[in-house]
Amino acid sequence: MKPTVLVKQTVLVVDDAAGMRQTLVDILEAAGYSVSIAVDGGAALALARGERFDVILMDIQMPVLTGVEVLAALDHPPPQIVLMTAYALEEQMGKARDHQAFAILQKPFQIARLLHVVAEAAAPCDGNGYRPGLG
Amino acid sequence: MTSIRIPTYRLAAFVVVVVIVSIASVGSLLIRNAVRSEEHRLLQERASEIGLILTEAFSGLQTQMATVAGETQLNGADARAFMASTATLITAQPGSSTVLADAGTDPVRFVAVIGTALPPTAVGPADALIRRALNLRAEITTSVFDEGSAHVIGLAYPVGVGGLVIYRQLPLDPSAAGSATSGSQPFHELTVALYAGPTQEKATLILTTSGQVPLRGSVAVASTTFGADQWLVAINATSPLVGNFATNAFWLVLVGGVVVALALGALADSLLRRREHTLALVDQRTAELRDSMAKLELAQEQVLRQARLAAIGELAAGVGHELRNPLGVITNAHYLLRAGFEQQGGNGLMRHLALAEREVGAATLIVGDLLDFAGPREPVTTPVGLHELLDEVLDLAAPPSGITVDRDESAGCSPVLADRDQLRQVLLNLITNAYEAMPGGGAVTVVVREAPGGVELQVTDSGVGMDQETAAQVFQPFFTRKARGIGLGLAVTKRIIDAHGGGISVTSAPGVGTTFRVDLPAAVVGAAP
Repeated sequence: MKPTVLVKQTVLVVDDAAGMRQTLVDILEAAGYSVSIAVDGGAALALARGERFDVILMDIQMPVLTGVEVLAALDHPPPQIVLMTAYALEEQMGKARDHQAFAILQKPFQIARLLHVVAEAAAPCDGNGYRPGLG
Repeated sequence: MTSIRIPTYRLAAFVVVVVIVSIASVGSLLIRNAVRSEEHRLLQERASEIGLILTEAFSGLQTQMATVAGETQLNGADARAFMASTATLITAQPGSSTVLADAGTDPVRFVAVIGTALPPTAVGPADALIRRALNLRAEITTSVFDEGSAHVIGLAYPVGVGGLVIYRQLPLDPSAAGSATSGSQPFHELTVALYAGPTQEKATLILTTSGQVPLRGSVAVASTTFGADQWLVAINATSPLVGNFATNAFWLVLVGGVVVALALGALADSLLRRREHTLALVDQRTAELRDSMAKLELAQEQVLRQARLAAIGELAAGVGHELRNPLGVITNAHYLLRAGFEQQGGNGLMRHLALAEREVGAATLIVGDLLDFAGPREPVTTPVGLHELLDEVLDLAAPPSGITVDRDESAGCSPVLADRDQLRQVLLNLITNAYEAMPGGGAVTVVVREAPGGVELQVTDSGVGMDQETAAQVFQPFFTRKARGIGLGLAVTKRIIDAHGGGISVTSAPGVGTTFRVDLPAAVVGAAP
């Protein structure tokens, strides 16, 4: 699952909490990903529409647009989106599953699990362009 | 000895009856005495009237005798002339004799006799009477005595010439008067006995209208003057002089009083019983009302408590949510620090890092409890192996220094049917609680074994322990005796165990330690995926 040296896989980290953004960037970059950041759902949507990311790692509770709303807006074509939440409502979780989020991680999470989920999400997809999520 | 309880209303009714009957009795006695007194007064009046009438009648008799004496005196005490005049003056009665006696001789000699023949001389009482009449001038005198087989009365009156005395002797049959029963006759309501003497002696009885002498019952007597003698008349009434109604009035009062007393007693009994019943009903209603109020208060308290818990839950959810982000950042930072220290080989710093990681673990557990309390969710159960889960928990919450964990899993056990995340929360709570109960170090013993219908898990510490009162409250939300913690761990633990259909109990002794025992249903064999 290790990314190749020549072509780094890209991850967009979206979280309104600066500390979370920064530590995730550091962890993912140390793991060999090329990481971009967005500070809220609106910025993330703009970025994701202009650029293709292998994985979007996104918080659910955010200003402007929630992670679930961004997920819904980016439905086609679907990037692999991993959602994070501190305390999500049942309704949001259901919607996230409906829009085929790749996984939902509950904060605080084990880094080993995070890296495992991101690596799975970044792996080349099958012919249908979709694999069942982990969460 | 058994005591019979008499109802108050019956006692009160009894008192009413007794009081009224007493009043009626006293009243009837007073009436009876008044009636008797009046009866006696009337009787005495009658006796006096009869006495006066008899005195009148007797004076007529004396006049008759005086007339005979006068005639005899005028005729020069001639026996023939006496007989002629006397025959016109005195109607002869059967068995009676009228005699001209000469008391100048001894014995008294009968000079002339009209009517029934007498012996020539007087003897005994007649002699004494005639002599006595001679001594008492101008007065008639009487005597009752027996002569032979006859009972007679003698009357004597002095002629005023020498020793001559007019003497009459009549046979007496005292009962011959019979009883005057005719309503039209005067004094018909009386029984009369007339004595020729001052006392009621049978020997002097002249006449009576009663079969029995002396008279019995209420008797009134009156004196009557017969010449030189005092006679006595005694009467009693054949029927009450005051009338039957007055005589029986006291019975009426007594019986009426008793009847009224019984009626009032029954009325009092009924009213008082009704009153008692009403009071009992009021008491019952009051008790019911009080009970309802108590229930209402309890319900109100519960509503308030739930509202408060809901508010706390809302706050907890917000705080939990806000805390999970910083905890996430710290966890991430710890990861980066550990990677850096591993590269640089800083062992001392690693110790500090481990401490920081443990504290984050504790904070994460508290947040988990808070969120579970605020928004409990139904368990999503799968078969869970307790041994593996225990490994993971002890990895996440490693024992602090000075504390050892002994695991007794020799018996082995089948998987339990549980929500893995919730059960991990339970184990984390029990294990960290055990750690915190032993600030000076000690041993935690974890026993997992089969139990009827499921699996039994025991977590025992050798810590400070609790008294009964504390142990009884440990499962209540926000109850804590620890220096840190918010008192939700065991409440959430119990909620989760209950939601799993299991049970949790605690036994503890101060200074000895505490054991929590959890029973969980076993997963059905073959249900495991």
